[in-house]
Amino acid sequence: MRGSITILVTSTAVLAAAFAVKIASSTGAAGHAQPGVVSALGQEPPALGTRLTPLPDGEGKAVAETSCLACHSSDLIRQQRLTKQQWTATITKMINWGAAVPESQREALLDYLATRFGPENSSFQPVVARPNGRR
Amino acid sequence: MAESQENSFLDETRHVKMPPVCHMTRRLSRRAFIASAGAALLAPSVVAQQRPASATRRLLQLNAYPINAETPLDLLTTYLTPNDVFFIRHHWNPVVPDRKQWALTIDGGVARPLKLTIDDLRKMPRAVRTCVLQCAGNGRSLHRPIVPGMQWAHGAVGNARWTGVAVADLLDRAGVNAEAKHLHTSGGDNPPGKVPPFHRSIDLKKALEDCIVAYEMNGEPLPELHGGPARLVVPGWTANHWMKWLARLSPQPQAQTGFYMDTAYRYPKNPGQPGAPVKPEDTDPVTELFVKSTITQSPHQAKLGSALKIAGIAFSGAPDIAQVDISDDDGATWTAATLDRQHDPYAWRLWSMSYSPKRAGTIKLVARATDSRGRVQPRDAVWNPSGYLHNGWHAVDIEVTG
Repeated sequence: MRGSITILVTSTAVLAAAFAVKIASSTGAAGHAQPGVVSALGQEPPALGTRLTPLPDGEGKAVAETSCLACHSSDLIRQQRLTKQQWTATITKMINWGAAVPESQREALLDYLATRFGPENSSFQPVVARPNGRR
Repeated sequence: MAESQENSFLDETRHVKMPPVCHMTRRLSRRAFIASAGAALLAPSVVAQQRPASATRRLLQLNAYPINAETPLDLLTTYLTPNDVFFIRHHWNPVVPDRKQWALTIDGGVARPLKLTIDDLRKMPRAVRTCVLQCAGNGRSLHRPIVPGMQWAHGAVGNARWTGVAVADLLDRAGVNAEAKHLHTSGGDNPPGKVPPFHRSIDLKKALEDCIVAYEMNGEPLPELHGGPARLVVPGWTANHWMKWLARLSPQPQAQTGFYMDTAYRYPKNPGQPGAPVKPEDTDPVTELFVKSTITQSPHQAKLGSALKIAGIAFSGAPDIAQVDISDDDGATWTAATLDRQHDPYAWRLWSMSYSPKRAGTIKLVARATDSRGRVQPRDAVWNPSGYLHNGWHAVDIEVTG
């Protein structure tokens, strides 16, 4: 791929510390009806495409990283609020599409996703990003 | 953090209104807890900072790769949405063709198969369409029950001036066979693994009526992020039809088949029970936009009796919007907003009104559009399994003090 669409970031943790402060919300509304991850201390917002937030720790994180993040960033996972049934269907769909989930770790992956990104998940906020190019 | 949330720079999504069913207990992960603790420590500094000069020009990134980002509502206040803050929706990391090497193939049911470069297109008669581009999934996060997919709020939409060549002119040059009824399209979408190819088709009738192959967006060469060197423009239809990094147009007797025709981008023929499965045979392809209005400007707080500017956008799969109404009593009574004069077929109408709150407390304003075909925006969107075309009334709160 040409151009500047994807910006490779070697250490999301360092970036998260350098650029972002997660603004806690007291409303707890679903979706991203929340203020978003913004740059702090007068820094420019991160450039579009910056990989900012890793998956949360826990059993199943490793398989989620290897099987899911080859094709999309962790954001797509972290913004979901799915039931166990919906996660089961999603994992099946992704395996059919080529996601490398070892059969022995499928259950751990399901537990990891369903526990952290179930219907009660309200942790996701979009990243306020600096646009590319001219206006 | 209450103070910093009054800062409009931080308050990105106050216009997102969730139905009351979604009150949730916030559970902080360890990471979020640490980050929150950090935020609390930093809060006075954050509040004291001047807003960065570039902060007004920004996108809300929902996914780092493939890039998906929506436009904050306060940037959807102009007739044309600037290219740099126009929403971005990528299924996969695309293969972006080199503008100099790129050529559009026209084959299939044609007398004269063609390969046309950007220079070839630029030598043909220029066609201009100023119209809304909206992701089929805009508003997906608002559907209840919750559905999987990119959780767009309100900002996966924009209005732009697209310049290129009419599909009718291209197919006239190629000579379409009488048997052709569907225009198959493919582009630079590059699905990984065993993901099915992103092959689509649209009715040839629609393609010949008003579609163009666009190489410019708002007067600039079409940006790569938006499908450059060239993409299809399908006025009044959802963005999934607007093939990006366009490579091939192929008139055929039958519609395209495959996952992105037969399973994805389909909508129930009739509204069902929210959350209930929908059989494929009970669905139609998602095509025309639904009538919709979104409030893009309203104050957070106001004094009783003051005159407030309320403004927004309204658009539809019909060529124009007839009316936008505002209610402060949950739809019991309505007041008409003023429609801006700027308009082109399938473009949005900017609208505005002066509103004066008559009671103190939290006032909920809702907007409702009616299109030129008489269709009225519903209170609640029709739930569907993929979360397409959310167009329920949009609400904002204003805290009114005496």
